[in-house]
Amino acid sequence: MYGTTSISASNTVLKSMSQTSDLHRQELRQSLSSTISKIENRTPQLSEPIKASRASLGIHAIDKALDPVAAKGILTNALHEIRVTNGLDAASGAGFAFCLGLMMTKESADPDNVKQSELPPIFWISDHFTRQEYGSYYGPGLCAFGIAPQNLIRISPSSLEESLWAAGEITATHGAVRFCLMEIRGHPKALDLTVTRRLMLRAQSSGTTILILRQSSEEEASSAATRWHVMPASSRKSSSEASPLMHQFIGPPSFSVSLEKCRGGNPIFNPFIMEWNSNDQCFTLSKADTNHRIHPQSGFRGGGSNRVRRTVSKIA
Amino acid sequence: MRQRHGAAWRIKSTIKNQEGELSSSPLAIVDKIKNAIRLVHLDEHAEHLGIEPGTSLADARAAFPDIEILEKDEKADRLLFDAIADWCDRYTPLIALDKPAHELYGQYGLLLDITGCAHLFGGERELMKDVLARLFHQGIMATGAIAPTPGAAWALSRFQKPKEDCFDSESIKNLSQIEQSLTPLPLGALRLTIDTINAMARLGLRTIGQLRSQPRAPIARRFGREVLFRLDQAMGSIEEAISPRRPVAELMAECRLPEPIALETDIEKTTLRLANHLCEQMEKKGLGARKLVLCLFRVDGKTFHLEAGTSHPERDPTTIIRLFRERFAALQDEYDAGYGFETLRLCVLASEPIRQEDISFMQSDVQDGSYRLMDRLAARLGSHNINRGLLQNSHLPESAEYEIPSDEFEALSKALNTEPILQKYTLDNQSPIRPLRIFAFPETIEAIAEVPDGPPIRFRWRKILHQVTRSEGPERIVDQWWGKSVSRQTRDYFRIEDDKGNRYWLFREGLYERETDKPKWYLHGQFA
Repeated sequence: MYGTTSISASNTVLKSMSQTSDLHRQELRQSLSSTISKIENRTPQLSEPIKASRASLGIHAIDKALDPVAAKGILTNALHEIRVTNGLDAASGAGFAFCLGLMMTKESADPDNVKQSELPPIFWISDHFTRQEYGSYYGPGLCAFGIAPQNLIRISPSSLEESLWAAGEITATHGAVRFCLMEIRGHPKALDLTVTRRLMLRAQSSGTTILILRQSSEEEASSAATRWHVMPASSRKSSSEASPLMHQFIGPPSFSVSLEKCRGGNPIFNPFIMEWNSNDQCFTLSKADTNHRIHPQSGFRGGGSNRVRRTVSKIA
Repeated sequence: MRQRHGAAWRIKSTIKNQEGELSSSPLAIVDKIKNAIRLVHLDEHAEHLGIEPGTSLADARAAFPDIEILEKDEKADRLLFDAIADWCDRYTPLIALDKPAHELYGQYGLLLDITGCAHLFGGERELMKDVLARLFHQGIMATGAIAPTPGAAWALSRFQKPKEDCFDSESIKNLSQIEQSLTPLPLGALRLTIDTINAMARLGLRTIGQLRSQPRAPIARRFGREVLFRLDQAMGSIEEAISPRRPVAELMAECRLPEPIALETDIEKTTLRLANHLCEQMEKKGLGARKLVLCLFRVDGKTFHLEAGTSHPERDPTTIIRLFRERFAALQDEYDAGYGFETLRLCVLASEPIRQEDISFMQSDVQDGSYRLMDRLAARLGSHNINRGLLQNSHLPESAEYEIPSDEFEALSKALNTEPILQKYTLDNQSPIRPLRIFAFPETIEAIAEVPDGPPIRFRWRKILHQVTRSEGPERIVDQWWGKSVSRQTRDYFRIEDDKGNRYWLFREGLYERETDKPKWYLHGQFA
């Protein structure tokens, strides 16, 4: 009873508020929120709403899908998930994760003036088993992606609890980290919605990017802002003017990507092919995939991909 | 053995039963000495029966058929001895192990340098009483002596006459007293070899006094310099330093508690107090700690040593406490407070001066934060689990990069300029020449090639067949001919793309006809 009366009272105040000046309005709002919190018996929330910072991925269509309002691209202070279905595609997933991470932190790092080795470090968390199964990261190979090997700090905890602890510690340090990549195999139970939500909040408050790379995994609900499904893509066919020998050559790293989940945006289920240009440190869309082929699906579709939809239809 | 026979195994069997007979059989420990199994340690019952150490097992068995035999466990002895030495850390940080000189007659010993420590325990004699009484109650019969030289203390602790109060011991205050108390002792007290002692005994030299009355030159000529050296060491005319078993701390703070504590929060509070004290001292000296150790002495004699390192000189007590908190979290099962800890000690093992610019206002919080982050990670996960890659100027794929623990990285990377090597791999090339992921050990594959030296057309890796669509290579990598290592076969590396778009780094080991008839194929890494 007490609550209802106070709300009706505030409604009348709100009506009268339209006539008052902006300054007055703010004061009113503050006093109202304090009365409400008094009634609800909790301390007033004083923390400012977290500012969302975004980074462009360099392709307009994808930026638009990620941020339909301003087409500013992907959220940087957030948790993102990259998943790989097949164990053979482990390197593709890792490559895409690095590219995505580099794109997202490009703004903070001025590539022309600063040497790679002087940038804040990138953290890579993975257990011993993952390293043995999918291989360790190789310094000379990292150089080709524009990462100095000494800048990648490799952490190998012995359990998932320890990796989560390490991820938490890393994100707690403001600005000392470029981004944190956490590699996980399959679907451990300990990494549930609550835990991912906690990581997401940490990333939001500290402004650090966390990427979870799931090897050999199916799609699973998590609190990540986006989920990308990555598969390797064949090198594109060289243009006709090049010599026929060029057909033999392997092109730049290329990924067949679909954006399975995108909070606040529109997912893209049709896989599109992205190539990584290591010279300019940017993505390019393969020529076959011109911009109009990327169709961001608007609205919510239960679960997302074909697999889930198929099971749903079976049950029906 | 102590589990079965109890800590005081030597005296247990002398308990008499109602008929006045000894209740159990004599016990002896045997060991293999010069290819014969001999008795090395005896319990009091066996001693009572007149068995002597050094008797062969067969002889002892013949005389006393019911003798119980146990084999000597060197490792367990050593562990126990180390535990006792750890326990003795509470008296002084300077403790040296004294290993038995001879398998037969040797007894383990500990040398404690108690210079400047005795007053904390109410005097030298009281300290020794405390040591012996506490050891006795743990089931360890020990004898002790205090003397100005390690040699004299060694001699007296082993050969002095037993006193009425079994915890009381000999205590010599100054050098002049040494001669007087050593004179009646046998030559064995001089830490000489058995052969030398026997040779001297044949000449009628049995005590230290007799040896000292002889002219020095003939003794040295006949028995070597060792004899006189040991004698001088015992008398104090030659300085003898003991080598402590643990590194000596630069700074130390200790807290003895009237009541043992077991709760982690209590330990943390006490450690914080110690850290505060240490940090004050460090501030006076302008130092910062690089390596710290926290020693926890448990009531029942067990000690825990927790080490924590920092990547930068540190003298902030709360940061130090956070490091130890991570160490506690990492210990988990190993850590057992039991009945609680009675003494806590925090030592600074290594320190570095903090330069003024290190704490200036110009220092960025970011840099500081990243150092502390690394320290915390290293404390919890172990510094060997946090690595960085250091590029090497080597064409061999295995040695092109080393993973180095990040706390050692800065020191190592200063010596090497990796920038040119980095440039080598970041060519203006659209496709990478080295894989992103590499296997520590190349995995064997079955591959079929069109021509013997050419790239494979299909291969099987981890039971899956891959059809090759594109390939680049070969890149021939030969072993370092200038190196001393066993030369390996030549490797031809190929960059391969299969029909699914996966890219692999394969190699064939061995050249056809020149090096091998059946070259093997391996998969070394994967490109993105």
